[in-house]
Amino acid sequence: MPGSCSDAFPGKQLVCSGASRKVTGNSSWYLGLVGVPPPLQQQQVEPSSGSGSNSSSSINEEDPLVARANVVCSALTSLSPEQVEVCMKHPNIIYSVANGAYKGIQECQYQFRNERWNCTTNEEDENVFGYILKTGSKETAFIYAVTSAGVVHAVTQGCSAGDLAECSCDAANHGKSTPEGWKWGGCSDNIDYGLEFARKFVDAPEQLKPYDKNEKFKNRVVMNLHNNEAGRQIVQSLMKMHCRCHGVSGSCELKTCWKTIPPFSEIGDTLKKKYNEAVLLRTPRNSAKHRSKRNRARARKSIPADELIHVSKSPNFCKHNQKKGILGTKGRECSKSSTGNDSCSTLCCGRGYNTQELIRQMPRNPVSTYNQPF
Amino acid sequence: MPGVILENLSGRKLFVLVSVLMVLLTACFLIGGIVAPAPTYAFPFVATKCIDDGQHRWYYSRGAGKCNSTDHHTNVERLQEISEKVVFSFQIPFPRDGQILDFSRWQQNLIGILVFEIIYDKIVEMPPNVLLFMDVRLGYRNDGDADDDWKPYAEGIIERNLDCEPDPHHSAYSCSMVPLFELGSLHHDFYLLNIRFQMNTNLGHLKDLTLVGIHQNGGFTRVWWTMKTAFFPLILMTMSWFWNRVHQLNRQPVLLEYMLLSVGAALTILNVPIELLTLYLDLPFMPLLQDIRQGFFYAVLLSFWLVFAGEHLMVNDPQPRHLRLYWKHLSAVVIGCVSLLVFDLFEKGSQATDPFYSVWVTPLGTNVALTFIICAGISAGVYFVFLCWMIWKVFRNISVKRSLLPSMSSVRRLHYEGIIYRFKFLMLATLTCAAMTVIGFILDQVSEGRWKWDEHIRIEYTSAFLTGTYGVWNIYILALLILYSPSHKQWPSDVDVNSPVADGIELSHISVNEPNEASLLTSFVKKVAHE
Repeated sequence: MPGSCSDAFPGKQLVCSGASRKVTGNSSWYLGLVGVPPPLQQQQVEPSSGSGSNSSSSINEEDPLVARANVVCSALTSLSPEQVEVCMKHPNIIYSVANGAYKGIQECQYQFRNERWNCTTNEEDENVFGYILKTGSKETAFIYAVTSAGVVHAVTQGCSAGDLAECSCDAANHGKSTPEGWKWGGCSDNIDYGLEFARKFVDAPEQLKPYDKNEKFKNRVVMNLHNNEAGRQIVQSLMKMHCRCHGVSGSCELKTCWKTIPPFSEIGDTLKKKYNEAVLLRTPRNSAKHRSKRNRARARKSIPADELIHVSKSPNFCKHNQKKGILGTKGRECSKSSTGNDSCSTLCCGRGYNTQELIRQMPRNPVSTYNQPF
Repeated sequence: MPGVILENLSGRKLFVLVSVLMVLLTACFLIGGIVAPAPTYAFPFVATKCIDDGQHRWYYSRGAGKCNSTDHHTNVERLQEISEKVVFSFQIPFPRDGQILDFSRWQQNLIGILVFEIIYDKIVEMPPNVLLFMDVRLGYRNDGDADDDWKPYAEGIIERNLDCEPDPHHSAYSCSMVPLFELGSLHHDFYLLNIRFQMNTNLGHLKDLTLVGIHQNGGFTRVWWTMKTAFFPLILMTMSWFWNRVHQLNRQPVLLEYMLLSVGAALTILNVPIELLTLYLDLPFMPLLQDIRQGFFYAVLLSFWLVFAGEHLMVNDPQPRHLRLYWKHLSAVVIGCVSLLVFDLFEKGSQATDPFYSVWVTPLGTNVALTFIICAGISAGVYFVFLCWMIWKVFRNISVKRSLLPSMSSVRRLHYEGIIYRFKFLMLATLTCAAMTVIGFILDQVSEGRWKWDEHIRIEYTSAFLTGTYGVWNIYILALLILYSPSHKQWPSDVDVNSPVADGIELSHISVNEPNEASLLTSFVKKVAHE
């Protein structure tokens, strides 16, 4: 019988309206994660129904969508002028970026649905995740990696869908510019552009942060950049190869292969595994043994690019902490029979749980017992 | 008696010739590996979902008059509601780098494959096998035409099978690819494909439809045609030189010479760069013609090997040898090739008129096609057994009779040993060519088509394999034509060599009696057989 967690401190009881808040359809909120400052997010940057089809070569025509995107790009203060220019040139891409970040958060909430921290988002906060993003914990690492992967995924898909006319062809291998290069030897895979763009765009805010002043800060920048890259590497490594034979009489004398991007859920699964194995980066604060700079550099170097790293331990997600924006696990659904993270003893942090029996009308199972927070 | 050049060529000259041919062969591999891009190129195009406004018109996603489309991010529930009113539209190629791309005639052909992305839903579960009924229209437009000036190319209601298996963990289905069309000629600049699913098609939650377009690369076409154009006059000239030498002899050409000429002719037909016409004309039957030319060359080459082995068997038959003698052996080649030809005529021949046609979609077509392919496979097996058996017989005879060599005079022994060596050398060359093709093919299958040696040199392996193999067989035929053309150089006459010794008497006798024999080896072997 399922149950729900109780609060061990009755005196401090606060009413939590919903611990697992669902992400709403407006993806503008998630731009904060990838360097778009909050004031901008209020300007209703959302992919509207026309953006999919009007991305033809003529970006010059006076399109209200394009005009709005231009407003977005010029206000991206956290980006370097060069990157603002890229954005101005290809305004459609900003929708893909927002969509990618949104995808990342959706996947995060799915992956962590049974954990003490369930990827809570708070839309009032400037960067959706609030405190968690500042801790430098495993959770921070996951958020950075999953949103970075989301941007790669969305931009790559945008290229395949023809939404983004600016997707490069990269005919550099043939030494020819786009139309000639394409006619000579085709274009590079869309993923190449997705990775290249994400590297420029998503990493930009980190690279602009004052780097040398503070050792702690420096570690955070290293950590964020590493996790961004890890997210991208995982997308790349999960690309699937498909082939088709079309030689004489359908023989495999001639075989053509192409890569397709995996469903985002697959990327989420892999990232979750990486989260479980995340490496704690040794800093002067958390390690007295590895004090020398050389050792630290070596330790950093030996971490493979597709592993997640973090600099501090996770905060306590059991108790509610309004200041830090941690909701606590009170009121969360738990499973009595489970032995995993969603088991009642783990999820309720040993505080016990309440059992509720509810009769609810379901589409397929007319009567079922269901558990609810009290 | 005139022998062939191979027998009379000095070791040094043979070495020089082989070296030159090897350099030529290496050049063929390198031109494919370094100059040419990959032979073909595949690219995914995700469909634009246009809202069907009930009009019978073209639905396209870019340019004036574009359709009203649903967003790619439209949620699945909404898509399900409108799925019956959606036209899946592919306006290809897509723009890149902000520039409009158009197909080039150098890209030769286009194969279209559909990839279905279906979301798993416990409530709307899909059967494992779905029969798709699609209303397809393919149109084209050229540079300079108005945006809405799409002209019909092919259309119809087609049937395809889709096999999907659920992947509940990832909440999606993994579905088989669906071959949609094959355009034998890529004559126009832009193509537009409109697909409507018929009402009775149960597709569950179809999220996206992707068209994978595969076409030849323009750069590869250029390299390929350059090779053909270079080999065409080379083989043609060697052939006429060969035939000229045969005619200078005061005898009728023998079977082996006829066969060599046929192989040369078949290769020349294959080499004629008639594909150049596709740059000016819309020739959808070109792939079929290409297959037929290639098949014809292989058929003649396979027959040549059989006859070559057969002609070196010791058969005491004074009659002039004729191709009729080999009808049993050659029937395997003929049956195999005719089977493949019939299959190809069905598949590619029909596609020349209807690009959406495929023999594989109906069970009857699949069975018929499989019958022909299995038939060809059995013929290939029978042929291979025949050939191995004949070669084994030749080698057995040579080695058995070779034991008689020590009883011969030293001059003649050396001479015959040389002949046997060179005969074996040519057998080795054939095996090497075959092995290179097979190994290259296997490597091609296992490699991902691109090899990196260092940062700067990238080898397109598949292109290297294709140009290399093409070069191998051209050079092989070239070598055969040169080495097996009749030599005009008189050997120290057999009588001079043999008369002082007792065991040579019969040789001169046989040589006089059978002036038609081209190869000294054959005469040697026959002589020994007489003993």
